[in-house]
Amino acid sequence: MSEAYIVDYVRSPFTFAKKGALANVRPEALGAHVVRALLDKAGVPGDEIEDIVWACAFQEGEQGLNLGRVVGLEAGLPVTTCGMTINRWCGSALQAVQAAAGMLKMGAGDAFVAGGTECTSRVPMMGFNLLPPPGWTQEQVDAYVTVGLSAEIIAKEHNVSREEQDLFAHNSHQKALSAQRGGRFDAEIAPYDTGDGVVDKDGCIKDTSLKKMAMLKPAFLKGGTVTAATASPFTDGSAAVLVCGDDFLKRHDLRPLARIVSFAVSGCEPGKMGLGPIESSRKALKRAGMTIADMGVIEMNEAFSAQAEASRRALDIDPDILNMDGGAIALGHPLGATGARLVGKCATLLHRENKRYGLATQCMGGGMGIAMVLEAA
Amino acid sequence: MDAAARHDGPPLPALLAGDNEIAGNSEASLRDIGDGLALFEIHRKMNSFDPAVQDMLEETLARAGRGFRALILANGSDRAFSAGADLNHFLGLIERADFDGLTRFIRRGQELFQAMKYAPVPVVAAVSGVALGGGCEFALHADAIVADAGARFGLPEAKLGVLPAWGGCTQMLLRAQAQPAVSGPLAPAGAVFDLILHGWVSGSAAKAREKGFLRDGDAIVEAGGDVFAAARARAIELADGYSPPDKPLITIAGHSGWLGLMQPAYGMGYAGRLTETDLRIGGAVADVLTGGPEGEYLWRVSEDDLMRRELEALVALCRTVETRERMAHFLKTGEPLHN
Repeated sequence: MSEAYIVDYVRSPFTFAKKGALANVRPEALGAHVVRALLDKAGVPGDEIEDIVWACAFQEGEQGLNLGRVVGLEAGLPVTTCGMTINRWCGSALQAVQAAAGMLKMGAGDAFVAGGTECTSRVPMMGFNLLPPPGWTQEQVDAYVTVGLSAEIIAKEHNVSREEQDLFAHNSHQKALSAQRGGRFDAEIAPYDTGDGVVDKDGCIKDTSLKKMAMLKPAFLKGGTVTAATASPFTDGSAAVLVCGDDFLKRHDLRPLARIVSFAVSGCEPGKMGLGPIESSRKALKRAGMTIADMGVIEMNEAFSAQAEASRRALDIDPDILNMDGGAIALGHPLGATGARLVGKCATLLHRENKRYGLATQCMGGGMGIAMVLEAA
Repeated sequence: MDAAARHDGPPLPALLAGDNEIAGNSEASLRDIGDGLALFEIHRKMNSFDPAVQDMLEETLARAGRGFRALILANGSDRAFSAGADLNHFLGLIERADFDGLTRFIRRGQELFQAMKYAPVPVVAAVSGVALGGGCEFALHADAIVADAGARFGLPEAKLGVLPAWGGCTQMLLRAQAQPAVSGPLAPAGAVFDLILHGWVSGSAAKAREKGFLRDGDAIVEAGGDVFAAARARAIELADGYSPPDKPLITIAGHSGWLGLMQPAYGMGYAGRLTETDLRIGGAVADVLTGGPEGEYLWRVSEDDLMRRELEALVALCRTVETRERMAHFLKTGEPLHN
């Protein structure tokens, strides 16, 4: 059986929804741009790609036409390359990587593009038509949908103070700022020409101060601790990784970034969705026969400071190896794209930092976690 | 006679001062303004609606098609097309706990506006100044609106503790559902819900058009232009071969949609940006816009079905202390109370 490898990684700049530079770009255009950039970078012909395994959390309107298929066609791939669209909310693109790897390992293809797009400017979070099961109570709807409240619950139960949340977010921005200034995003970002100019930088990173952050009012709960600064912003963006098997690597003389070692998903209380990384990471690590101490690099999504810090503590993650170039609080969180960014970043960092194993993990709305262990290849 | 000359007529001030009243009382008049056109004029403070205005509108609609071939709603005021229901009258009913009287007043408003919408003659609203609350609903039931560029439209009832119940929720939902840009089983209701929950009032006619108060066939007259003359021309244009609109069926999203509409509202409530009273009003508005608790996803209901909900919801809100406080505070201070 072939192993599954992450061969390359590309993403668009991530910019604020509505007010950002990519707000007028349609989702398939942003997705196709990233797919083309990925294949160009890797030097892989499009006609050898079995499938575009794409992710999107709100598949409505412009994002509702099986985006993966539309992205493949718009990217100029031959009609023979197939396309699908996966939904596991915030973890959709990490799931897309796993879906590609799973197909690969059962012999159903040996080269896949996995990734995702979320144009939050154009299809808002929760879509245009939020229609929960009519039998649900308001509390059930809140637990499933109102993720800001889940961050408040976790902050309280796990004693993550306002100051600690602010500090976590501030660190995320500082790390991202340092990476941006040091050109450490340049290799992963495919600049996008909107017609009004080329967008080549992330738009959400801020050189803000703890003092300014401390002045913000709670965004989700009166008297609460979670603010706009300690939540990931609404974002437009797209990301993709190339997932290939052994034969394909040999045939094209490719050097992969990482091998996929293990994977897990887990469920938890919908109202505490932010704790998702804990159990899913434990499961993925166990399946890999490892512990957190074996990890040299960890990319964990920062939906909110509160849940990321609570999960970090529960998993006993060394802050120095966590989100080394910043996380979603600074970079933004285009729901359908984030998972591919985490996997791609983790695989890239293994090489840059000369580490052997890495973990990419996320919480997901509705009370779910997802995790993948990678080994430098 | 060419078209431009035919549309010419005496200016509005001359018509309002003329000896042309067909019927009238102390609060409103029906005037014959020539060319087979009639003018319905309210002449009271902020041109608000009280039972006497309703009497005259009833009289007017009873004559539609016999005495005139098109009706224009105008009054010559730059300040107010109409500020809606007379709040003194309204609050008086509530304070006397005369909920039967309140029900009659609201139901009669609904029936009159519906009768106007489906009258055998076209109706054109010439709007200058504010068209708020019931005044906005009055204009929404016309076949066409001709608005001064500075005209302000809005349904700010929630700020007074109630909801639009003279068909405002219903007509705005119909308008939103007719817009291709806002599609899906809930999205049109969502747009209307936000406007009503937050009591949004437009700063201009152009803004009102953006939010769906004005439709494609409605006109905006630039500053300094003659709104009445444009309304007159529009009325003549519509009169030839006019037939009243078909009664529409309205697609509702049911209780699932109610949960969807209320989710962001509850979120604002938790964050302290909406009060319990706001959420109660929001819940009532969401109820109307989604067809109520027994409504089912994608059922199609009539205007009457939704307006019955508007009425029931309004009366229920008026039985609460917080609604009475909001209304009394506004009457006393001119400012909304955010209780």
